[in-house]
Amino acid sequence: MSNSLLQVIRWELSQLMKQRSLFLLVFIYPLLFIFLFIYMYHAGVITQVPIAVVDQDTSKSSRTLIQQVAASPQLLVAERYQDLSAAKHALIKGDVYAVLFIQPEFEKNLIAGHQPEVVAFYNNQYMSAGTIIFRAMSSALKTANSQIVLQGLLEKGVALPVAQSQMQTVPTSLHPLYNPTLNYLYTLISGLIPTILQIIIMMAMVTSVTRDRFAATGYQPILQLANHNIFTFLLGRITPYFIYFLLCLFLFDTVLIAYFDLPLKGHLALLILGDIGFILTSCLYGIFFGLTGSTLAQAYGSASLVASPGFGFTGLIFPRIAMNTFASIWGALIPVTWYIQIRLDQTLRAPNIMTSLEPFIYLLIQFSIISLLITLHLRKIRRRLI
Amino acid sequence: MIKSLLLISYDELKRIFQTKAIVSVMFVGIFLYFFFYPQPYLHEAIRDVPIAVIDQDNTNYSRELVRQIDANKSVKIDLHIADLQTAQRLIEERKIYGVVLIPYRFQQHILEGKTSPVSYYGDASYILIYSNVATAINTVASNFGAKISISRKIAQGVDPAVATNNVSPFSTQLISLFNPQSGYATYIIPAAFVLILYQTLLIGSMLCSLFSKNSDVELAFIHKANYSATSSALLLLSGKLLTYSILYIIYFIIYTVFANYWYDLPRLSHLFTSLWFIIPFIFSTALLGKVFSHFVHTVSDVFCVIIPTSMLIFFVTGLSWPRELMPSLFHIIGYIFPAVPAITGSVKINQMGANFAEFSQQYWHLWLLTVIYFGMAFILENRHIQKMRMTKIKENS
Repeated sequence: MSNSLLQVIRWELSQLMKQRSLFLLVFIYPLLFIFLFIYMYHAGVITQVPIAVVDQDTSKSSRTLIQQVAASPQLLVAERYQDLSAAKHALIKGDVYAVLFIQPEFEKNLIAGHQPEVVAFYNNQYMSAGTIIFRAMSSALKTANSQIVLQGLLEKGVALPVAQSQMQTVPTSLHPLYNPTLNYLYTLISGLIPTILQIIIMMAMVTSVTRDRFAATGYQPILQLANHNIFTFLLGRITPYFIYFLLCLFLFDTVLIAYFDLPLKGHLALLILGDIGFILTSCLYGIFFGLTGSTLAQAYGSASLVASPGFGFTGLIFPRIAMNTFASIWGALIPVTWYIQIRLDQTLRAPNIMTSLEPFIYLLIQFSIISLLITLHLRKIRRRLI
Repeated sequence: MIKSLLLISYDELKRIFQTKAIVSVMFVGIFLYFFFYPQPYLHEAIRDVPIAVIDQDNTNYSRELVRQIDANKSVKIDLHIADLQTAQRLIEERKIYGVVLIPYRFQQHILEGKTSPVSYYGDASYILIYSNVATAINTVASNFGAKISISRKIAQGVDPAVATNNVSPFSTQLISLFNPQSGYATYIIPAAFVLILYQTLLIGSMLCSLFSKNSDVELAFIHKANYSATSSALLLLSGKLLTYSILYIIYFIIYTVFANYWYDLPRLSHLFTSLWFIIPFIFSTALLGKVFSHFVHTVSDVFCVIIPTSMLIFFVTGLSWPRELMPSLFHIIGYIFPAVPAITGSVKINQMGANFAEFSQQYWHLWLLTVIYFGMAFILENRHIQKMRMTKIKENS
C-alpha cells in the first residue's frame, strides 16, 4: 500500500513538472496573488480619499468649515473649483470622489441665524469609498456645527463644561468588537486569498484528473500504480498539491500575524485543522468536476462556475444574512464559505468551542458527501477497467 | 478580398457554435452567468440586522429610543437582554450582530440637562454590517438628542425656529450620487458583467485559435498562393475580429442595457455612446487572446492560466480599494489588461452618464491597446503562416 502510494505521488509529481501551465498555476500563482493582494491592501484602512471643494462664499466661516473637513484623516481636499459643473466633471472623470459645496452668503446667513445649507455630493457608485466619505464627511460637518454652537455659548458667558454638556444630548459611543480599527486586511483579504486559492486548487485538480481521463490509455496506468485501490489513487493524487497549498496558507498566515499583527485569539490547532479541511475538500471538489464533466471544457467550466463567483457567495462583499435563499444555499455548498468563518472565529473572534465547531461540521458534511460521490464514480470506472 | 474576409468570419462563427468547448464559453456561459452571478447581491441593501438591547434604565425615554432604533430599516431589535455577558455569548454565536446599551439614569441625566450617552457594541469582523448598524444607531441617537435639546429650548421660551437653529447653525445635506440607495447590485453588477464579457472573450479567442489549427478553410487560406503571408495574416485577424465584434456587441447590449432593466439598475447613457466605447474593448481583448494563444498548446493551459486572474483584475479597477491609493505596480497592471479601462469607462458611461471628455482617457487607452496587441498578434500570425508555408514546401520537395 505505502509503496504504491509513493509510486502514485511520484507519477503525479512528474506530470506536474512536465506541464508548464499547471506548474505556473500551482507553484507561482498562489504566491503571486498573496503578495499582490497584501501589497494592495497593506495600509489596512482607506484614508485620504481625494475630494473637491466648491467655495462660493470665500469667507472666514467657509474657510474654517473647509479646514474642519480637511482635518478628517479619511478625506483629502485635492481640488478647488469655482463652480459646480467643473467639480461634477472631475467627479465623473474619477479625479475626486466627492464635492463639498458651500453656497454664496454662507457666513451672512450663519450670522443672521438663517440656517444656511451645506451640500456634499459623493460618488456612491464605488461604494467602499462612498461609505467612508459619508461617514467622514457627516462627522466632520457635525463637529463643525457643534463648534459653532459651542463658540456661541462661550461668547454668551456659559462655562465650558456646562456648554459642552449642552452640545449633544445623546451621544453614541461606538465599540467595534474584534476588529477595532476596521482593518480590511483582517477580514476582506484574509478571506479573499483562500477564495482565490480555492479557484487554483479546483483548476489544478481538474487538470490533473482530466489529464489521464482524456489520454489514450485512460485511467488504466495510474489505477494500476495504485493497485486498483481508490483510496491510494485519490491520496496519491492530492498529496503533492495538498502539501504545497498548505504551505502557502501557512505563509499567508505567518505574514498576516507577524507583519500585520493579525490577532490569533482562538486556537492555532483549530485554524490548522481548518486549513487542512478546506484544502482537502476543495481538492475533492476539483476531482469531482474533473471526473464528471463530459468534455474538458465542461469540467473546467463547472469548476470555475463554482469557484470563480465564489467570493460573492461567501459573504465577503455582501453579508450572507442579507442574501436571497438561493444565494445563501449555494454559498453553503462552497468549502471556502465555512473556511472563512473558521478563519474569522480563530483569528479575531475566539468564540466558545461549540460555536467554533459549527463551520467544521458543515465542512465535514461537504467532505463526506463529495468523497462518497467520487468513490462511487471511481468504483464504476474500476469495474469497467477490470 | 471582402469575400475571403466574410468566409473567414463565417468559418470562425461556425467554429464557435460547433465546438463544444467554445460554445460553452462564448454562448452558454454568457447566459448562465447573466442569471447566476448577480444572485448574492439581488437584495441590494443590508436590512434588519438582528441586534439586542440592554435597557438598564427602563423609562419612557429609553423605551422611546429603543422604538426609534427598531424603526430604522437597517436594524431589527431581536431581544432584550440583561447584561453584556449574555450579549457577548450571542454575538459569538452569530445570533445577533451587536448590542445597544442604555445605561442606568439615562432619563434622569437628560432631564437634568446633562449629556446622557448610549453605547453600541458591534461585531466588526463583518465590517459592512458593523458600519451600517453603527451609522444607523448614531443617526437615531443624535436625532433623538437634538429633538430633546430643541424642546428644552422651546420650553425655556425660545422661538421654535431659533431653537432649531441654535442646535445646528447650518444644515447639512449629503447626496449620494449614481447609487442613491447604496445598493450592492448597483455597485457590483455593472463592473462584474464587463469582467465576465472580458474573460469569456479572452478565453474564447484563445480556444478558437487552438481549435482552428486543423480547420480546412484556414489551412486553405494559409497556403493560398495568390496572397502574401502578410495579407493572409491581416485577413485572418480582421475576419475573426469581425465575428467577435458582432457577437459581443449583442452580448454587451444584453449585459448593460437589458441587465439594467432586468435588475433595475440606474442607467444614464445613450446606447450609441456605450457601443462606440465598447468596440476597442472587443478588439483589444480578442487580440490579446490571439497573442496569448501563440504561447499555449492545450485547452487546459488556457483555463489554468486565465481563470485565476479574474479576481485580481476586478480589484485593480478600484472597486473595493480606491485606485488612487494603490501602489503604482497596480496602475501598471491596469495599463496592460483591457478589462481595467473597460470596466472603469463602461461604469462611467452607463452608471454615471459620462460625456466623451470624461471617459476619453479610457477610450484612447483601449485603442492604444488595440494597436499594440494588433501589432503583436500580426507579427506572430505572420511568422506562423511563413513557418507553415516553409514546412509545406519542404514536404513537397
